[in-house]
Amino acid sequence: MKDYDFIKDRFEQDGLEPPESLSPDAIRARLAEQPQHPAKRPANADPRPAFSPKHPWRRPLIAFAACACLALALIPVNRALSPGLPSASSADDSGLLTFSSQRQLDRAVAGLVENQYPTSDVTILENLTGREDLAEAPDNEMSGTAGDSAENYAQDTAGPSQGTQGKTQSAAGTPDHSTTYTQVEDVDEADIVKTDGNYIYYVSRVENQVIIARAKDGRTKRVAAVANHGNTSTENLYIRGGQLIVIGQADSEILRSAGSSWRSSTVVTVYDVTDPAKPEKTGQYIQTGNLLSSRLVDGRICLVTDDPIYNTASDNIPMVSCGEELSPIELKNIRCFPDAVTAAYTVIGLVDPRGEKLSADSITTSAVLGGSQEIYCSGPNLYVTGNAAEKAKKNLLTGRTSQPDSQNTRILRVSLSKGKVKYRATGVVSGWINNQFSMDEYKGYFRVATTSAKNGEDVNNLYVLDEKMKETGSLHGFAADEHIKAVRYMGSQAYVITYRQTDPLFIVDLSDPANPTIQGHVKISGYSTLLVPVDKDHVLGFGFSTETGEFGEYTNGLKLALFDVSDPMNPKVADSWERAGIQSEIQNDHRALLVGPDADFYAIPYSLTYTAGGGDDPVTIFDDAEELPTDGDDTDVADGSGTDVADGSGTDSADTDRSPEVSDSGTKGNPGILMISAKGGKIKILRDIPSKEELSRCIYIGDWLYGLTWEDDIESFPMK
Amino acid sequence: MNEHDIIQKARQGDQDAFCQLYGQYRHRLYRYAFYRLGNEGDAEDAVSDCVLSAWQQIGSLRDPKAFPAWIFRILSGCCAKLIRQQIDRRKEDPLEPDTGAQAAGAGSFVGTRPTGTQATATGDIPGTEDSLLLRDALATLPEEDRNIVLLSIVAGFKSREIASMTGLTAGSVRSRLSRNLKKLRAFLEEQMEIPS
Repeated sequence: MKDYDFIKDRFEQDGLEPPESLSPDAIRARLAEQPQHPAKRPANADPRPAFSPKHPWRRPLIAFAACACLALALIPVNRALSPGLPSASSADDSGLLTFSSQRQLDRAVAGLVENQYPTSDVTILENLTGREDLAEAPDNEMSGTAGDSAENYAQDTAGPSQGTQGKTQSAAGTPDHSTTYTQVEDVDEADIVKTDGNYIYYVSRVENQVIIARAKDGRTKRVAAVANHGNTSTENLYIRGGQLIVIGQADSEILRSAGSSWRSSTVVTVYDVTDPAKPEKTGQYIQTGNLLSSRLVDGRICLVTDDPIYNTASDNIPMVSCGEELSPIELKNIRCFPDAVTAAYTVIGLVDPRGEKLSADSITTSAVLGGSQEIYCSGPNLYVTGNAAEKAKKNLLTGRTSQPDSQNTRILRVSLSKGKVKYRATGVVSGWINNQFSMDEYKGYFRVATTSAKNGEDVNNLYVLDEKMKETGSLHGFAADEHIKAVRYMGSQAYVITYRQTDPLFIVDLSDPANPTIQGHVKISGYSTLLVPVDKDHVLGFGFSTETGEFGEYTNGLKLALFDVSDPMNPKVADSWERAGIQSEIQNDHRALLVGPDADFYAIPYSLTYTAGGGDDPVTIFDDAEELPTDGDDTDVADGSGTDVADGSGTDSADTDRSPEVSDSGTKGNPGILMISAKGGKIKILRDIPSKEELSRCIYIGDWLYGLTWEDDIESFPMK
Repeated sequence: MNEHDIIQKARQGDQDAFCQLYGQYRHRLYRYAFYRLGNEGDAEDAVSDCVLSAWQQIGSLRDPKAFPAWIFRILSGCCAKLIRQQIDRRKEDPLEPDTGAQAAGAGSFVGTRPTGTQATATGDIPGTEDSLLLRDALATLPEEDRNIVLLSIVAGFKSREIASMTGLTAGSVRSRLSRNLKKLRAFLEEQMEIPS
């Protein structure tokens, strides 16, 4: 029995029963004594719940504010920081607030901690200034700030803005091999497995270490491992120029802050792997906070963590260490978002691992008060998103306010040029973003797609912002009652997948930054979660097949959809393929995509979600003979294939019996790897390669595929 | 009427729909609160506070599909508040029995294992024998990891959902879950082998 099932069974049999006082009837009786539900209140009632007025002293301000609201409504948030307000802090030229004293910072932190729950409609800026702006913001209000007038933005944006990556690279004498599929070419993303063409470096979660294995002709041999100790987990890694960079997370007693039993930190450990059999630790950098994400760009690691604040004690300030004692970030390197709502610091570290030893001189760290959600890195620029406070809406006729029905996303642009972290500008867009692929930078413009709520219904938007994060153009409210599932930008076009019951692909023309327009759309059942440009005319979507059940739509398997976008005004579904009962990590994580040599094929790991009919009978998933090649289909495993895991002692252990079962007409109840071609406007399953265990990733070296199992093992398969 | 429709009605102020909705989550909410707080009295208070807050706020719930994460986020906040109260109580009266949960916000459970039938500070029956054993097992985990286990096992969220709720990455949630479930199992199996 798996650990999960074992523990779940124990909880389900614990005999705990809620007391009678918590029965639905008892609760119903108590609700009758409570203030009426906000939705049922008379129109002239105070919309704020009676139990939660955190700042009742502000109410008299409402009447005053109502008079001034029209003027204030058009003032961007940062402009509200004008000297006329009794501001406790001031804004730098990027629109972020700065602190001149610890006391100011403590006050800002206190405001966030107190307001975090329940969600407040009062911004941190208002807490700091003691003023309340009750103006109603226009639906499409954007508040951007100028921050880099002295700098040439073109320099910041010089470099590739997007890529169709996952391509191979090989140095002389090194076998051709895959790299991690990333959003932007030349901007690497950490993953649980990497290869340099000779060795495979992969995270073993079971052993909590990175294992280094020699890989050649389908044989693997473990030669070394680097372990994390104690409470430090091993999350993911990079390899570059003879270095292995391991990123982990730690819960440390040393880092405990007042009132909290733990404090997370993110640990970057650099090893010299010039000789992979003898990795040598050359430095370690610690930055407090949960790992949000990281990038490797221009040889430097950009590390973003989210450091939650639990109380108002001053020891919550983010701390860093590079081999020495942990020390708090200096006040001068701490900023604050003017509309922060989350009690957390966003910590940005830029680490240059080059050089013999990691030193404090090679690291720049700064922090911004206000939590973060996603990052996108174009190379020269890092964009960090987070929740932004949304104003309570005020009815101009009645003067009454109501709770916002949507949320805003705040975006911070940070320049990473020349190894320095420089805050450039902040902006706010309406709605929330799906993931990092919702964002893109192209020719000096930042593009972001969002989903927002309007009158209780999801609508979708696409914004184009300039270098100062000011809106130059936007597209509002498309695909009503649907929400974004995937976005991909290709030059001056955006491909947007939304979903409710079908999967429409929208093509948006962004060639005029002031006027993004929908060119065309096409619908297909199911939905894609990752869009991969195949060639100039085709985009391949990986995602879910769906079916309609008693309670509406639900996902039931894997789906591929090939879109013909050669005529943007009239896109078509060129081909599609789906199978119920299987799932793939590709549906959740783009890094699970393997692009074959010369982009000849795509490969993805898959596993079974259920066995049709129950019992132990194997289910034939790939029973469509037409979709399978009639020859060359057998997974004819050469001698010596399989995993050969040594104990790190360097001895060559014998092959293990890991020959996958031969599949003629398709997988018989096995997990495995799908090799897919999307050439010529057709989806073709080139091969279905069964594996012994479920795989999380697959890579290739030379003529061999290697699959990383969830149990931290490696299986190998001939590619042809 | 499916859950989506029930949530929609509750959002519009339908008290019966809200209570029906609550009824579907009652056991999960209570179980989560019990293991976060360590005793039935505080768990009852937390769920009670949670449901009243939820009723007040459900009109502003944007997306019905987000209801499970939303209600557990509220409950988590209520639990945090009660943990703070437990810590304060303990500061005021160091002799007050440690219910286990008091350590949730202030340190490790290890060494403060409840004795099974011991009454809590509030005089409540502390729970069933099995629940106490599970509570002891959870006490061996750091607070954040304990929360992740509860969000997964008790509340039924997926790693990605927990990631978005906790601010961790999904990969981190998965690795923590895997590590901690193994740890819990080892603890429980060891305890079950000891003759009572």
